[in-house]
Amino acid sequence: MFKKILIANRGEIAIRIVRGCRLLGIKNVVVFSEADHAALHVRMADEAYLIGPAPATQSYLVMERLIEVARKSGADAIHPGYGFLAENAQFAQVVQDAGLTFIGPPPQAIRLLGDKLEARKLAESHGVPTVPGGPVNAADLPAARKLALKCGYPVLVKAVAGGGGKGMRIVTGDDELEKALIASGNEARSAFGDDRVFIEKCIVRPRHIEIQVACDAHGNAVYLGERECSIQRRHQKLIEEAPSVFVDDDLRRRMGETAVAAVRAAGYANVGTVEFLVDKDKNFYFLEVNTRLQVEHPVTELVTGIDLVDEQIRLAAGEPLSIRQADVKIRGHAIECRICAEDHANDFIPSTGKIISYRQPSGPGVRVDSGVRQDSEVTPYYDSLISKLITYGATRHDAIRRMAQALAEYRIAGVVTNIGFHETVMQMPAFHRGELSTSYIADNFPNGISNEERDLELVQAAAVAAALHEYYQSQRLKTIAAGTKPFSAWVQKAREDSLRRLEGGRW
Amino acid sequence: MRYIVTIGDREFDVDVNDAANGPVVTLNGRALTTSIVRDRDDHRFLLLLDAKAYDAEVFATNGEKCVLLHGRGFDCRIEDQRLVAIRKAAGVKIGAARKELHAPMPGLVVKILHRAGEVIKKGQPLLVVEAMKMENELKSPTDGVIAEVHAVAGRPVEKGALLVTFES
Repeated sequence: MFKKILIANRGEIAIRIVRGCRLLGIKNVVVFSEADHAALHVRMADEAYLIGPAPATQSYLVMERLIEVARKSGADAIHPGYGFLAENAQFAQVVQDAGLTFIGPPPQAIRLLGDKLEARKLAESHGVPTVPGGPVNAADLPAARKLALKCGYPVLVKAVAGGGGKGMRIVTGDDELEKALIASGNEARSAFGDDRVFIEKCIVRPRHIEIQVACDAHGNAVYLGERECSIQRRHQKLIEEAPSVFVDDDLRRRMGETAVAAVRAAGYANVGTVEFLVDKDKNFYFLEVNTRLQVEHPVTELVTGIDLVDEQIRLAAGEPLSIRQADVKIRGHAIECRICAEDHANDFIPSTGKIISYRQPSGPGVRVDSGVRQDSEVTPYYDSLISKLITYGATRHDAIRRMAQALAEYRIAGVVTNIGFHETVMQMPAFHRGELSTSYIADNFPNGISNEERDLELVQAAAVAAALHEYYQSQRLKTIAAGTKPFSAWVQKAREDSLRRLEGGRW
Repeated sequence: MRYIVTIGDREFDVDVNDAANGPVVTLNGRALTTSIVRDRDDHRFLLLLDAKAYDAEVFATNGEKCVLLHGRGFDCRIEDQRLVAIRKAAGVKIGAARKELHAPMPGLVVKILHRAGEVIKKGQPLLVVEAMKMENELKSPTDGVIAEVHAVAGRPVEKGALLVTFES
């Protein structure tokens, strides 16, 4: 087993991995940028090293710096978390070449599955269903037209190297195709330095359902059930759950076996996720493989009882899988809400600033994986995820009730968060009925998301609280100024405290 | 003491008056049954307003107050009756929608979508700012004609920076 693991990440996932290391008695080392010198992941680690300025391209993405820190600290393995270098085959190779263990699949598997076209070809050759479509040359319009017609409109034009919805266009008819090809190609070139595009059939109102898999280096592989991640904004997930209301035992088994076949074909080892789109008739189509730990892994942990980080580290150390397929049981239901510093009422625009007050919910079935605390800074350099709130219950209904309660208890001040959005969704009949699709937000909030009318009482209460605060402050100043009351050491002390605060500028 | 509290584009008239059993609160002319429990430094309030319970925290930042209520933050601008009287005397409308667009977060201006002189509808995207790995369309807070675009494509902006002004 490893003696010391370097965690090449930040935020909640770095903390999740610190905890995973501690459970196994492994020392941990974290890295941080200048913007993160006081971050929670630094406070929680055994050792921490500054690796560069705030922009990720000068810190968390600099491979040489990470290897240097691993050497200096005596780490024998590197855990990449998610994002940053987690799916970078070159990094996995560099780590290996430095004589360290990369906690993830082999570089060849990352390379193969990271290329959307290669992964698609591999899936097809192993009988995994894919969405009809294929690569096109943006300059060859007639050929692109032919393929689009074959798929049937609407089609998606996507960047081969894409992700996060960049370089993606929906085309509803022949007349829009040329414009979309040019725009996608341009966007892809500036975002990824690669202007290759492909066309695929647009599945209307699909569900996004993914299968968690785990493979060891000894030829064993299991699937650990599914996660439904249909509620997304800007093609990024917001709410995830396990199991999916839409998946029955038969579909779960078929998707699971397909997922295992796909990763095995790529020579996979370690944990990973195979993403599928599922249409209303329960046809499923291979989307892509995420060759890493996912943001939403906790929901699987709760319903299977398997600690995925623990499993990941042990698999990387060469141990066999801790579980066989026959022992995998899905129990209860888990939901995750991504708590992001963003303004859902204003097109999900991100929010930055200092978290001036922070209180986490707790109670039965409540788990919070957070990357922040009071006084943490949310900076513009990294993504807007600040924590994940996960609830568990015997049934989906119980998990939803607990989520609604936990969201109501969650207090974050100083930055705008999407807690109110999650509260709204937890009350929606469509969500309760499990009527989910990737266009959930567009379908259910046709006029955008507004807090206004629903919250009139809340806004009024806020106005009263603000007025009372002003009132008591002016009273307090008046009392201090008048100085007519008999002397009390306690009152004197309290006044000194309040004066100190005034001077400190906090009030 | 009478206060005008502005939250977003809403205005509330809150009157707080001393009484034997603590202050009496009148909201937009209507007296509320209130019970107020406050912590030692007047930062946290347990409010019962017409028997409804609110656990509020109030923070003063940059001359405004931020009220944290049920997990949501409300930015409040507050003026007491003295200020209101002065403003009224000067003929300035209280709480008039500010005809400016400010950067809601620091970021990089990627694209400017409209120029000075163009007629804009409220909610129409004006420019694109990249922050936190996302491209964000900033929308017009008002109907009107653009007087000046202060942002420059390719340049970074600080939080709160003036981006666009409208003709009044």
